[in-house]
Amino acid sequence: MSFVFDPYYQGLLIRALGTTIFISVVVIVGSNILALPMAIYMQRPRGRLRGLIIGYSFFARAAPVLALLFALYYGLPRFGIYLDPLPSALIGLTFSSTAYNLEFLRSGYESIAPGQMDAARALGLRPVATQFKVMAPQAYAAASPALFSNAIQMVKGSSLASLVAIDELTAASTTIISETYKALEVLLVIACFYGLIALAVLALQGTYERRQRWISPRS
Amino acid sequence: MVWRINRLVSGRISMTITPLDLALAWMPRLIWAAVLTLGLAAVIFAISAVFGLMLAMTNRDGNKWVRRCIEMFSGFFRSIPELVILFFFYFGGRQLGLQFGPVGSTILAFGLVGIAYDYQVFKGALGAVSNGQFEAARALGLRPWKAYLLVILPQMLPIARKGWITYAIGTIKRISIASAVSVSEIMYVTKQAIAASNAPFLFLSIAVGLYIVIVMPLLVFNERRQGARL
Repeated sequence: MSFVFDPYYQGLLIRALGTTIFISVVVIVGSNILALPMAIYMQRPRGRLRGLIIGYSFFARAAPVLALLFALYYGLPRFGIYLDPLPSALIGLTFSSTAYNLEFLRSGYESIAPGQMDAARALGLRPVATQFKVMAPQAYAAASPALFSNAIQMVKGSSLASLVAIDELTAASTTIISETYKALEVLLVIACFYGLIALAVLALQGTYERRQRWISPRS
Repeated sequence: MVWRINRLVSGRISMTITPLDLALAWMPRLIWAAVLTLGLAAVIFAISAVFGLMLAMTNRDGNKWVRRCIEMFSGFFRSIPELVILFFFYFGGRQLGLQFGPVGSTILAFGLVGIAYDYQVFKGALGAVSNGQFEAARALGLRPWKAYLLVILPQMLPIARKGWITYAIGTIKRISIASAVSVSEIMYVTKQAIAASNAPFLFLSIAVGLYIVIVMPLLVFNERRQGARL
Protein backbone atom coordinates (compact mmCIF):
# COMPACT_ATOMS: atom_id res chain seq x y z
CA MET A 1 0.00 0.00 0.00
CA SER A 2 3.09 2.21 0.00
CA PHE A 3 2.02 4.01 -3.18
CA VAL A 4 -0.80 5.64 -1.22
CA PHE A 5 1.78 7.61 0.79
CA ASP A 6 3.82 8.68 -2.22
CA PRO A 7 2.98 12.35 -2.90
CA TYR A 8 3.40 11.79 -6.64
CA TYR A 9 0.76 9.07 -6.71
CA GLN A 10 -1.41 10.99 -4.26
CA GLY A 11 -1.47 13.93 -6.66
CA LEU A 12 -2.24 11.62 -9.57
CA LEU A 13 -5.08 9.93 -7.70
CA ILE A 14 -6.62 13.18 -6.46
CA ARG A 15 -6.57 14.71 -9.94
CA ALA A 16 -8.02 11.51 -11.40
CA LEU A 17 -10.75 11.44 -8.76
CA GLY A 18 -11.52 15.07 -9.62
CA THR A 19 -11.83 14.17 -13.31
CA THR A 20 -14.11 11.21 -12.55
CA ILE A 21 -16.35 13.35 -10.35
CA PHE A 22 -16.36 16.13 -12.97
CA ILE A 23 -17.34 13.74 -15.77
CA SER A 24 -20.01 12.09 -13.60
CA VAL A 25 -21.57 15.38 -12.49
CA VAL A 26 -21.61 16.87 -16.01
CA VAL A 27 -23.10 13.72 -17.51
CA ILE A 28 -25.70 13.25 -14.75
CA VAL A 29 -26.81 16.91 -14.81
CA GLY A 30 -26.59 17.21 -18.61
CA SER A 31 -28.53 14.05 -19.37
CA ASN A 32 -31.28 14.94 -16.90
CA ILE A 33 -31.64 18.45 -18.34
CA LEU A 34 -31.74 17.13 -21.93
CA ALA A 35 -34.13 14.27 -21.17
CA LEU A 36 -36.84 16.39 -19.53
CA PRO A 37 -38.01 18.43 -22.56
CA MET A 38 -38.01 15.30 -24.72
CA ALA A 39 -40.04 13.40 -22.12
CA ILE A 40 -42.53 16.28 -21.91
CA TYR A 41 -42.75 16.41 -25.70
CA MET A 42 -43.41 12.67 -25.89
CA GLN A 43 -46.60 13.16 -23.88
CA ARG A 44 -48.24 14.62 -26.96
CA PRO A 45 -50.11 11.93 -28.80
CA ARG A 46 -49.15 13.46 -32.15
CA GLY A 47 -45.96 15.36 -32.72
CA ARG A 48 -43.66 15.71 -35.70
CA LEU A 49 -40.55 14.96 -33.68
CA ARG A 50 -41.93 11.82 -32.05
CA GLY A 51 -40.39 9.52 -34.65
CA LEU A 52 -37.07 11.30 -34.36
CA ILE A 53 -36.99 10.99 -30.56
CA ILE A 54 -38.04 7.33 -30.65
CA GLY A 55 -35.32 6.64 -33.22
CA TYR A 56 -32.72 8.46 -31.17
CA SER A 57 -33.73 6.63 -28.01
CA PHE A 58 -33.59 3.25 -29.72
CA PHE A 59 -30.22 3.91 -31.35
CA ALA A 60 -28.62 5.30 -28.21
CA ARG A 61 -29.81 2.35 -26.14
CA ALA A 62 -28.86 -0.29 -28.72
CA ALA A 63 -25.32 0.96 -29.37
CA PRO A 64 -22.69 0.26 -26.71
CA VAL A 65 -21.31 3.40 -25.08
CA LEU A 66 -17.85 2.34 -26.17
CA ALA A 67 -18.93 2.44 -29.84
CA LEU A 68 -20.20 6.01 -29.36
CA LEU A 69 -16.99 7.06 -27.64
CA PHE A 70 -14.89 5.52 -30.42
CA ALA A 71 -17.05 7.19 -33.04
CA LEU A 72 -16.38 10.59 -31.49
CA TYR A 73 -12.73 9.89 -30.75
CA TYR A 74 -11.66 8.26 -34.02
CA GLY A 75 -14.47 9.46 -36.25
CA LEU A 76 -14.79 13.23 -35.78
CA PRO A 77 -11.25 14.05 -36.95
CA ARG A 78 -12.26 12.55 -40.34
CA PHE A 79 -14.64 15.48 -40.72
CA GLY A 80 -11.97 17.93 -39.70
CA ILE A 81 -13.49 18.35 -36.24
CA TYR A 82 -10.79 18.18 -33.62
CA LEU A 83 -12.31 17.98 -30.14
CA ASP A 84 -10.26 17.45 -27.01
CA PRO A 85 -10.73 13.98 -25.54
CA LEU A 86 -12.66 15.30 -22.52
CA PRO A 87 -15.48 17.14 -24.37
CA SER A 88 -15.87 14.29 -26.83
CA ALA A 89 -16.16 11.77 -24.01
CA LEU A 90 -18.68 14.02 -22.25
CA ILE A 91 -20.77 14.22 -25.43
CA GLY A 92 -20.67 10.44 -25.95
CA LEU A 93 -21.58 9.56 -22.37
CA THR A 94 -24.35 12.18 -22.22
CA PHE A 95 -25.75 11.05 -25.58
CA SER A 96 -26.17 7.52 -24.28
CA SER A 97 -27.46 8.24 -20.76
CA THR A 98 -29.96 10.86 -21.94
CA ALA A 99 -31.82 8.11 -23.81
CA TYR A 100 -32.15 6.01 -20.65
CA ASN A 101 -33.28 8.99 -18.57
CA LEU A 102 -35.77 9.87 -21.30
CA GLU A 103 -37.32 6.40 -21.09
CA PHE A 104 -37.51 6.47 -17.28
CA LEU A 105 -39.07 9.94 -17.27
CA ARG A 106 -41.48 8.94 -20.03
CA SER A 107 -42.82 6.03 -18.01
CA GLY A 108 -42.89 8.38 -15.01
CA TYR A 109 -45.15 10.74 -16.95
CA GLU A 110 -47.30 7.85 -18.15
CA SER A 111 -47.91 6.80 -14.55
CA ILE A 112 -49.57 10.14 -13.71
CA ALA A 113 -53.34 9.87 -13.40
CA PRO A 114 -54.94 11.35 -16.53
CA GLY A 115 -57.13 13.69 -14.49
CA GLN A 116 -54.17 15.65 -13.13
CA MET A 117 -53.63 17.63 -16.32
CA ASP A 118 -57.32 18.55 -16.61
CA ALA A 119 -57.50 19.42 -12.92
CA ALA A 120 -54.54 21.77 -13.26
CA ARG A 121 -56.20 23.42 -16.28
CA ALA A 122 -59.49 23.69 -14.45
CA LEU A 123 -57.67 25.49 -11.65
CA GLY A 124 -56.53 28.02 -14.25
CA LEU A 125 -52.82 27.19 -14.04
CA ARG A 126 -50.78 28.33 -17.02
CA PRO A 127 -49.16 25.57 -19.14
CA VAL A 128 -45.67 26.25 -17.72
CA ALA A 129 -46.96 26.13 -14.15
CA THR A 130 -48.92 22.98 -14.94
CA GLN A 131 -45.76 21.29 -16.19
CA PHE A 132 -43.48 22.35 -13.37
CA LYS A 133 -45.82 22.45 -10.37
CA VAL A 134 -48.12 19.53 -11.15
CA MET A 135 -46.73 17.18 -13.76
CA ALA A 136 -42.95 17.18 -13.25
CA PRO A 137 -42.98 16.56 -9.47
CA GLN A 138 -45.22 13.53 -9.93
CA ALA A 139 -43.23 12.18 -12.86
CA TYR A 140 -40.01 12.54 -10.91
CA ALA A 141 -41.52 10.89 -7.84
CA ALA A 142 -42.35 7.84 -9.93
CA ALA A 143 -39.12 7.81 -11.93
CA SER A 144 -36.65 8.69 -9.18
CA PRO A 145 -35.47 5.17 -8.22
CA ALA A 146 -34.62 4.42 -11.86
CA LEU A 147 -33.05 7.86 -12.36
CA PHE A 148 -30.83 7.49 -9.30
CA SER A 149 -29.67 4.00 -10.22
CA ASN A 150 -28.97 5.31 -13.70
CA ALA A 151 -26.86 8.05 -12.09
CA ILE A 152 -24.71 5.32 -10.52
CA GLN A 153 -24.50 3.70 -13.94
CA MET A 154 -23.14 7.01 -15.27
CA VAL A 155 -20.48 7.14 -12.57
CA LYS A 156 -19.47 3.63 -13.62
CA GLY A 157 -19.70 4.61 -17.29
CA SER A 158 -17.16 7.38 -16.74
CA SER A 159 -14.55 4.60 -16.40
CA LEU A 160 -14.94 3.97 -20.13
CA ALA A 161 -13.45 7.40 -20.77
CA SER A 162 -10.12 5.83 -19.79
CA LEU A 163 -10.26 3.91 -23.07
CA VAL A 164 -10.31 7.14 -25.09
CA ALA A 165 -7.28 8.74 -23.47
CA ILE A 166 -8.77 10.54 -20.47
CA ASP A 167 -6.89 10.46 -17.18
CA GLU A 168 -9.70 9.58 -14.84
CA LEU A 169 -9.60 7.06 -11.98
CA THR A 170 -9.46 3.88 -14.04
CA ALA A 171 -6.76 5.29 -16.31
CA ALA A 172 -4.82 6.37 -13.22
CA SER A 173 -5.08 2.83 -11.88
CA THR A 174 -3.50 1.35 -15.02
CA THR A 175 -0.75 4.01 -14.90
CA ILE A 176 0.08 3.24 -11.28
CA ILE A 177 -0.13 -0.53 -11.85
CA SER A 178 2.30 -0.32 -14.75
CA GLU A 179 4.76 1.59 -12.53
CA THR A 180 4.40 -0.27 -9.22
CA TYR A 181 3.13 -3.74 -10.25
CA LYS A 182 0.78 -3.65 -7.25
CA ALA A 183 -2.45 -4.36 -9.09
CA LEU A 184 -4.60 -5.60 -6.20
CA GLU A 185 -3.80 -2.73 -3.85
CA VAL A 186 -4.22 -0.06 -6.51
CA LEU A 187 -7.52 -1.48 -7.73
CA LEU A 188 -8.84 -1.81 -4.17
CA VAL A 189 -8.13 1.89 -3.55
CA ILE A 190 -9.81 2.78 -6.87
CA ALA A 191 -12.78 0.57 -6.00
CA CYS A 192 -13.11 2.41 -2.65
CA PHE A 193 -13.22 5.74 -4.49
CA TYR A 194 -15.98 4.50 -6.79
CA GLY A 195 -17.80 3.00 -3.81
CA LEU A 196 -17.70 6.36 -2.02
CA ILE A 197 -19.10 8.19 -5.07
CA ALA A 198 -21.89 5.58 -5.31
CA LEU A 199 -22.62 6.03 -1.60
CA ALA A 200 -22.84 9.79 -2.14
CA VAL A 201 -25.44 9.25 -4.89
CA LEU A 202 -27.34 6.85 -2.63
CA ALA A 203 -27.27 9.43 0.18
CA LEU A 204 -28.74 12.00 -2.23
CA GLN A 205 -31.44 9.50 -3.15
CA GLY A 206 -32.21 8.95 0.54
CA THR A 207 -32.52 12.70 1.11
CA TYR A 208 -34.79 13.08 -1.92
CA GLU A 209 -37.05 10.23 -0.82
CA ARG A 210 -37.32 11.54 2.74
CA ARG A 211 -38.35 14.93 1.40
CA GLN A 212 -40.76 13.21 -0.95
CA ARG A 213 -42.47 11.42 1.94
CA TRP A 214 -42.62 14.73 3.79
CA ILE A 215 -44.39 16.41 0.88
CA SER A 216 -46.75 13.58 -0.07
CA PRO A 217 -47.00 10.91 2.65
CA ARG A 218 -49.07 8.68 0.39
CA SER A 219 -46.28 7.87 -2.08
CA MET B 1 12.23 -11.12 -57.15
CA VAL B 2 12.44 -7.43 -56.39
CA TRP B 3 10.69 -6.70 -59.65
CA ARG B 4 7.89 -9.08 -58.76
CA ILE B 5 7.39 -7.53 -55.35
CA ASN B 6 7.36 -4.08 -56.90
CA ARG B 7 4.77 -5.16 -59.37
CA LEU B 8 2.74 -6.74 -56.62
CA VAL B 9 2.92 -3.60 -54.47
CA SER B 10 2.16 -1.19 -57.28
CA GLY B 11 -0.64 -3.46 -58.38
CA ARG B 12 -2.15 -3.33 -54.93
CA ILE B 13 -1.86 0.43 -54.69
CA SER B 14 -3.42 1.13 -58.06
CA MET B 15 -6.42 -0.98 -57.06
CA THR B 16 -9.26 1.12 -55.72
CA ILE B 17 -10.67 -0.27 -52.49
CA THR B 18 -14.34 0.48 -52.02
CA PRO B 19 -15.96 0.50 -48.56
CA LEU B 20 -17.82 -2.63 -49.62
CA ASP B 21 -14.52 -4.46 -50.28
CA LEU B 22 -13.27 -3.39 -46.87
CA ALA B 23 -16.43 -4.48 -45.12
CA LEU B 24 -16.45 -7.83 -46.91
CA ALA B 25 -12.77 -8.39 -46.13
CA TRP B 26 -13.38 -7.91 -42.42
CA MET B 27 -16.78 -9.59 -42.31
CA PRO B 28 -15.63 -13.12 -41.36
CA ARG B 29 -13.62 -11.78 -38.42
CA LEU B 30 -16.49 -9.54 -37.34
CA ILE B 31 -18.95 -12.42 -37.50
CA TRP B 32 -16.65 -14.57 -35.37
CA ALA B 33 -16.33 -11.69 -32.95
CA ALA B 34 -20.13 -11.52 -32.73
CA VAL B 35 -20.23 -15.28 -32.11
CA LEU B 36 -17.66 -14.85 -29.32
CA THR B 37 -19.75 -12.02 -27.82
CA LEU B 38 -22.82 -14.26 -27.91
CA GLY B 39 -20.95 -17.20 -26.39
CA LEU B 40 -19.54 -15.07 -23.59
CA ALA B 41 -22.99 -13.61 -22.98
CA ALA B 42 -24.54 -17.11 -22.78
CA VAL B 43 -21.99 -18.30 -20.21
CA ILE B 44 -22.34 -15.09 -18.18
CA PHE B 45 -26.15 -15.23 -18.27
CA ALA B 46 -26.12 -18.84 -17.07
CA ILE B 47 -23.71 -18.14 -14.19
CA SER B 48 -25.48 -14.99 -13.05
CA ALA B 49 -29.01 -16.44 -13.32
CA VAL B 50 -28.21 -19.62 -11.37
CA PHE B 51 -26.21 -17.98 -8.60
CA GLY B 52 -28.41 -14.88 -8.51
CA LEU B 53 -31.45 -17.10 -8.00
CA MET B 54 -29.68 -19.13 -5.32
CA LEU B 55 -28.70 -15.95 -3.47
CA ALA B 56 -32.25 -14.61 -3.72
CA MET B 57 -33.60 -17.86 -2.23
CA THR B 58 -30.94 -17.79 0.51
CA ASN B 59 -31.85 -14.19 1.23
CA ARG B 60 -35.49 -15.13 1.70
CA ASP B 61 -34.83 -18.05 4.03
CA GLY B 62 -31.59 -16.97 5.71
CA ASN B 63 -31.03 -15.01 8.90
CA LYS B 64 -30.17 -11.33 9.30
CA TRP B 65 -26.39 -11.73 8.96
CA VAL B 66 -26.59 -13.86 5.84
CA ARG B 67 -28.84 -11.23 4.30
CA ARG B 68 -26.48 -8.43 5.19
CA CYS B 69 -23.53 -10.24 3.63
CA ILE B 70 -25.48 -10.85 0.41
CA GLU B 71 -26.61 -7.22 0.26
CA MET B 72 -23.05 -6.01 0.77
CA PHE B 73 -21.78 -8.30 -1.98
CA SER B 74 -24.50 -7.10 -4.32
CA GLY B 75 -23.97 -3.44 -3.43
CA PHE B 76 -20.22 -3.69 -3.97
CA PHE B 77 -20.40 -5.26 -7.40
CA ARG B 78 -23.13 -2.91 -8.53
CA SER B 79 -21.25 0.27 -7.62
CA ILE B 80 -17.78 -0.53 -9.03
CA PRO B 81 -17.25 -0.10 -12.79
CA GLU B 82 -17.02 -3.39 -14.71
CA LEU B 83 -13.71 -2.25 -16.17
CA VAL B 84 -12.15 -2.01 -12.69
CA ILE B 85 -13.44 -5.46 -11.72
CA LEU B 86 -12.12 -6.81 -15.01
CA PHE B 87 -8.68 -5.34 -14.28
CA PHE B 88 -8.94 -6.83 -10.81
CA PHE B 89 -9.00 -10.35 -12.22
CA TYR B 90 -6.76 -9.65 -15.21
CA PHE B 91 -3.92 -7.76 -13.50
CA GLY B 92 -4.61 -8.73 -9.90
CA GLY B 93 -4.85 -12.42 -10.71
CA ARG B 94 -1.42 -12.25 -12.29
CA GLN B 95 -0.03 -10.70 -9.12
CA LEU B 96 -1.31 -13.69 -7.13
CA GLY B 97 0.08 -16.07 -9.73
CA LEU B 98 -3.37 -16.92 -11.11
CA GLN B 99 -3.56 -16.57 -14.87
CA PHE B 100 -7.24 -16.16 -15.67
CA GLY B 101 -6.49 -14.94 -19.17
CA PRO B 102 -8.61 -12.36 -20.99
CA VAL B 103 -11.64 -14.59 -21.53
CA GLY B 104 -11.50 -16.12 -18.03
CA SER B 105 -11.24 -12.67 -16.42
CA THR B 106 -14.17 -11.46 -18.51
CA ILE B 107 -16.37 -14.37 -17.46
CA LEU B 108 -15.40 -13.99 -13.78
CA ALA B 109 -15.87 -10.20 -13.70
CA PHE B 110 -19.12 -10.03 -15.65
CA GLY B 111 -20.39 -13.18 -13.94
CA LEU B 112 -19.96 -11.62 -10.50
CA VAL B 113 -21.53 -8.32 -11.57
CA GLY B 114 -24.34 -10.29 -13.22
CA ILE B 115 -24.96 -12.28 -10.03
CA ALA B 116 -25.19 -9.02 -8.09
CA TYR B 117 -27.81 -7.59 -10.48
CA ASP B 118 -29.77 -10.81 -11.09
CA TYR B 119 -29.97 -11.27 -7.32
CA GLN B 120 -31.80 -7.93 -7.11
CA VAL B 121 -34.16 -8.87 -9.94
CA PHE B 122 -34.99 -12.28 -8.44
CA LYS B 123 -35.27 -10.87 -4.91
CA GLY B 124 -37.92 -8.44 -6.11
CA ALA B 125 -39.76 -11.17 -8.00
CA LEU B 126 -39.69 -13.55 -5.01
CA GLY B 127 -41.08 -10.76 -2.87
CA ALA B 128 -43.96 -10.38 -5.33
CA VAL B 129 -45.05 -14.01 -4.89
CA SER B 130 -47.53 -14.00 -2.04
CA ASN B 131 -46.47 -15.54 1.25
CA GLY B 132 -49.46 -17.86 1.20
CA GLN B 133 -47.92 -19.74 -1.72
CA PHE B 134 -44.85 -20.61 0.34
CA GLU B 135 -47.01 -21.68 3.26
CA ALA B 136 -49.38 -23.69 1.07
CA ALA B 137 -46.44 -25.52 -0.53
CA ARG B 138 -45.13 -26.37 2.91
CA ALA B 139 -48.56 -27.42 4.12
CA LEU B 140 -48.74 -29.83 1.19
CA GLY B 141 -45.59 -31.45 2.56
CA LEU B 142 -43.40 -30.49 -0.41
CA ARG B 143 -39.68 -30.48 0.25
CA PRO B 144 -38.12 -26.99 -0.05
CA TRP B 145 -36.46 -27.61 -3.43
CA LYS B 146 -39.62 -29.17 -4.81
CA ALA B 147 -41.70 -26.28 -3.48
CA TYR B 148 -39.46 -23.84 -5.34
CA LEU B 149 -39.37 -25.89 -8.52
CA LEU B 150 -43.08 -26.68 -8.77
CA VAL B 151 -44.81 -23.80 -7.01
CA ILE B 152 -42.66 -20.70 -6.59
CA LEU B 153 -40.51 -20.56 -9.75
CA PRO B 154 -43.40 -20.87 -12.24
CA GLN B 155 -45.02 -17.86 -10.58
CA MET B 156 -41.82 -15.90 -10.07
CA LEU B 157 -40.13 -16.17 -13.47
CA PRO B 158 -42.81 -14.27 -15.44
CA ILE B 159 -42.48 -11.41 -12.94
CA ALA B 160 -38.69 -11.43 -13.19
CA ARG B 161 -38.65 -11.69 -16.98
CA LYS B 162 -38.71 -8.03 -17.89
CA GLY B 163 -36.04 -6.90 -15.44
CA TRP B 164 -33.86 -9.86 -16.31
CA ILE B 165 -33.99 -9.22 -20.06
CA THR B 166 -33.37 -5.49 -19.60
CA TYR B 167 -30.23 -6.29 -17.68
CA ALA B 168 -29.23 -9.01 -20.16
CA ILE B 169 -29.37 -6.50 -23.03
CA GLY B 170 -27.08 -4.22 -21.04
CA THR B 171 -24.68 -7.10 -20.44
CA ILE B 172 -24.37 -7.88 -24.15
CA LYS B 173 -23.38 -4.28 -24.78
CA ARG B 174 -21.11 -4.12 -21.75
CA ILE B 175 -19.11 -7.13 -22.96
CA SER B 176 -17.58 -4.59 -25.37
CA ILE B 177 -15.60 -3.40 -22.33
CA ALA B 178 -13.66 -6.68 -22.49
CA SER B 179 -11.91 -5.28 -25.58
CA ALA B 180 -9.75 -3.41 -23.04
CA VAL B 181 -8.12 -6.72 -22.04
CA SER B 182 -7.82 -7.87 -25.69
CA VAL B 183 -10.76 -10.26 -25.82
CA SER B 184 -11.42 -10.34 -29.56
CA GLU B 185 -15.13 -9.55 -29.36
CA ILE B 186 -16.96 -7.09 -31.63
CA MET B 187 -15.45 -3.82 -30.39
CA TYR B 188 -11.91 -5.22 -30.34
CA VAL B 189 -12.07 -6.41 -33.94
CA THR B 190 -13.75 -3.12 -34.90
CA LYS B 191 -10.87 -1.21 -33.36
CA GLN B 192 -8.37 -3.34 -35.26
CA ALA B 193 -10.27 -2.78 -38.48
CA ILE B 194 -10.30 0.98 -37.89
CA ALA B 195 -6.58 0.99 -37.20
CA ALA B 196 -5.88 -1.01 -40.35
CA SER B 197 -8.23 0.75 -42.73
CA ASN B 198 -8.71 4.25 -41.31
CA ALA B 199 -12.44 4.00 -41.99
CA PRO B 200 -13.92 4.57 -38.50
CA PHE B 201 -17.53 5.22 -39.44
CA LEU B 202 -17.82 2.24 -41.74
CA PHE B 203 -16.71 -0.23 -39.11
CA LEU B 204 -18.45 1.45 -36.18
CA SER B 205 -21.69 1.35 -38.20
CA ILE B 206 -21.16 -2.35 -38.85
CA ALA B 207 -20.45 -2.93 -35.15
CA VAL B 208 -23.56 -1.06 -34.05
CA GLY B 209 -25.51 -2.96 -36.71
CA LEU B 210 -24.30 -6.26 -35.29
CA TYR B 211 -25.30 -5.18 -31.78
CA ILE B 212 -28.74 -4.15 -33.01
CA VAL B 213 -29.19 -7.52 -34.73
CA ILE B 214 -28.20 -9.33 -31.52
CA VAL B 215 -30.24 -7.15 -29.17
CA MET B 216 -33.35 -6.67 -31.32
CA PRO B 217 -35.05 -10.05 -30.60
CA LEU B 218 -34.61 -9.52 -26.84
CA LEU B 219 -35.88 -5.96 -27.07
CA VAL B 220 -38.96 -6.94 -29.09
CA PHE B 221 -39.65 -9.88 -26.78
CA ASN B 222 -39.40 -7.56 -23.80
CA GLU B 223 -41.67 -4.84 -25.20
CA ARG B 224 -44.43 -7.36 -25.83
CA ARG B 225 -47.24 -7.01 -23.36
CA GLN B 226 -46.92 -9.17 -20.28
CA GLY B 227 -50.48 -10.39 -20.77
CA ALA B 228 -49.58 -11.98 -24.08
CA ARG B 229 -47.36 -14.60 -22.48
CA LEU B 230 -47.93 -18.33 -22.94
